[in-house]
Amino acid sequence: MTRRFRESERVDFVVVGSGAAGGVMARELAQAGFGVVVMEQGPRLEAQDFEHDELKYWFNYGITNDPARSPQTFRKTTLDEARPPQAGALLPLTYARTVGGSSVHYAANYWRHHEVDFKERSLHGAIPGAALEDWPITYAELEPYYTKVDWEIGVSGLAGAHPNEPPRSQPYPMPPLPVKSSGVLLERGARRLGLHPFPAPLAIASRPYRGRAPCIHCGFCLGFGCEVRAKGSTLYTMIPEAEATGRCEVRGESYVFRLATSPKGRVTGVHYFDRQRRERFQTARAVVVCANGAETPRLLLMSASSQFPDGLANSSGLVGKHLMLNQGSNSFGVFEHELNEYKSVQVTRVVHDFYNTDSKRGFYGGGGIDARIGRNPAFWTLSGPEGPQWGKAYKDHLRSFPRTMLAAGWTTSLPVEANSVSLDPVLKDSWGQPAIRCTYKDHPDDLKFAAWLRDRADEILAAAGALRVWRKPITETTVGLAMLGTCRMGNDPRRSVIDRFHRTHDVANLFVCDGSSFVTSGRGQPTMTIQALAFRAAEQIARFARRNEI
Amino acid sequence: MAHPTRTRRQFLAHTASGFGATWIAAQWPAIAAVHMHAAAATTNPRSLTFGFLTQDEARDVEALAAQIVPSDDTPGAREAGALHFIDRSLHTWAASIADPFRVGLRDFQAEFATGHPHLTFAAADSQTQVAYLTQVDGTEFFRTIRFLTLLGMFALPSYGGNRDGIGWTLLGFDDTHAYAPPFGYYDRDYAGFIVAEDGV
Repeated sequence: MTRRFRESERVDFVVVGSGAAGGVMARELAQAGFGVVVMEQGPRLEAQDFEHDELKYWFNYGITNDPARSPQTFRKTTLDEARPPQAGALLPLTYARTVGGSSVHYAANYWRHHEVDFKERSLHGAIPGAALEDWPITYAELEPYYTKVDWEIGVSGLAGAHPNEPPRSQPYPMPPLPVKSSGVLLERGARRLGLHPFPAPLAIASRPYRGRAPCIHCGFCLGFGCEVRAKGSTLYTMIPEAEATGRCEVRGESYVFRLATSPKGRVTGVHYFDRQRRERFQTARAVVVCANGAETPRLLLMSASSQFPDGLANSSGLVGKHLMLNQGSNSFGVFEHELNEYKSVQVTRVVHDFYNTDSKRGFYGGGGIDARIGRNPAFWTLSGPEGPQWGKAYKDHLRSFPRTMLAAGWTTSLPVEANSVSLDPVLKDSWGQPAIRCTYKDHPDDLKFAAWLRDRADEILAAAGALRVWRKPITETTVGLAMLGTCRMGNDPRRSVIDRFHRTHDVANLFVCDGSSFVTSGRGQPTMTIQALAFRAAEQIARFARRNEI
Repeated sequence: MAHPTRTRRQFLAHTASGFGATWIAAQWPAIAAVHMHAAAATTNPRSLTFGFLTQDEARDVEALAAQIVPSDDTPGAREAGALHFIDRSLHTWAASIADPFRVGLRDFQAEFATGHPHLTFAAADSQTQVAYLTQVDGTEFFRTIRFLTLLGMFALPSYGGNRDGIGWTLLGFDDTHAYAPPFGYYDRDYAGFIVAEDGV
């Protein structure tokens, strides 16, 4: 059924990126009757291509962007020299480079934003050193699209399970995944402290769902592609449904490096490299960039021309700015009996009692705590409690693996203008295009809140009966797996890149929708909101297209 | 899944049978490729010669690995074949750090020789080795060899280490391709989720 388009054929939409947002965008536009070509720089892999191989995926860039082909540099501030990371380290801005994007290797935690997320500037006022703004949309406007994600992608969970839950119009389509020992213990500890733990909402099938198999509890979610299609990756959900319309072509190994514009300042198509690294061009009526919070601003900046000297859609100067990577914390509890956290999904219980900023703490910040594996076995062994990291004592620590759980804190990042994605002035990728330069230094409140929440996680573990608790230091962020805020949404063209319908303020037929659209960071689990935005944006974009307003 | 399947190969076969003949026919080339890959990985004899390290280097690297995860009442890095994993890594996926690794190893050996003339690290007694490592465990070279040793203990055996799943046995990791609840001690008698009374 997959349609193939000729490059000379003026397709209605080119969607750049096939991940969490691009997959939704492709399906919605194709089902609305439009011709769509999805450009994906990574290859098309399927369930049988994935394996339980930690070395491959965590250390050999099995499906992630890799420094050999796509290098990046990092610096804390604009005064520092930007340098590539050490050999073997993850890139500063890491994502899955494959059809389905990072939805292929995500843990599939699907937290909705709360109502407060959309109006934190109004609630807390200006914060020194940050550009805190309200979103131009509210939770109520987005709620129908969160529900759409629940049902179209398939989210397992329990509605009405805790008092901090944002309002929902529908229950979850599937019950929660079976609880793990870490979930039971988090629930026990949190309840003893008067908190309200609840079953984790996950985009993982807990029973057969729309032709997909349920989870087999193999334990390799985060960092791995699902081998039974139980994860709601767009590779298994939106992409095949888009192709089934007969109006969508997903063009793998097609790396868009420049958006073309006409003298009238409209986008005319995309320049890209094909599998053989030949330069190609696809003509389009409109372009939607869903390339993620790192690659989207990079592409706009790489599309600079005499007409748009600072990059496309960048009259505000804010393309690439306000990068938010989310802080977090790690507290490990060691218990008397086996938990065997390496089995099944990452998370089964969550606490959202500390979601809101509380001015009594003296700093901005909010977050959630979840009970999880931490890492698969090999990765888990790489860091232990303070003290010797080798020898007899370390070997004894290794034996605690099945009795250990992680209580992870997922916390806010304030939008700081200097934190950014920009083009490295020197370093090129293996196609000769400018490398990403990441500039990032956490706002002091981000570090304070992460440390504060880590103490709460420690208390929960202790209340659950942990024999001992050890934790990782809170450190400045140098690697991000979810890149947010770099083409922020807003009503004022001087202070934002896209409008409330994801149209760029500067170019009428250019839209942007992915993590870059975020105005604030949420609490470290952005995929649900990225996809709700994509469903909402697609509906609007289709409406504009039908009215000839693109 | 009523019967947990032990290996990926069995798992794929199981999944395939569950999906029926049409599914197998459609997926067969991919499944066959995976099986051939798995067979190649498991029948490849573990080499006793080295692709990157010299015999002298190998002796010290093995002694180092054996201090990082020592053998006591249970096997350690030596028995897991971490040495062969390290050697193989340095001329395959970790080739980009092979030269710095060699330079670091030479510095490590030279520094040891200053304090212990006529003795190699590998030939020293355990107490001497531990005393020396305590001084140098903050170096980049030590961090690298620790990293490679741990991966050589716990990564897939097809990479040359984790021989017979020794590392996984140490961790208490049961290498099965799929599991069913209950997963651990604490979820065995879980009564089900109840919304707290002060809840909603």
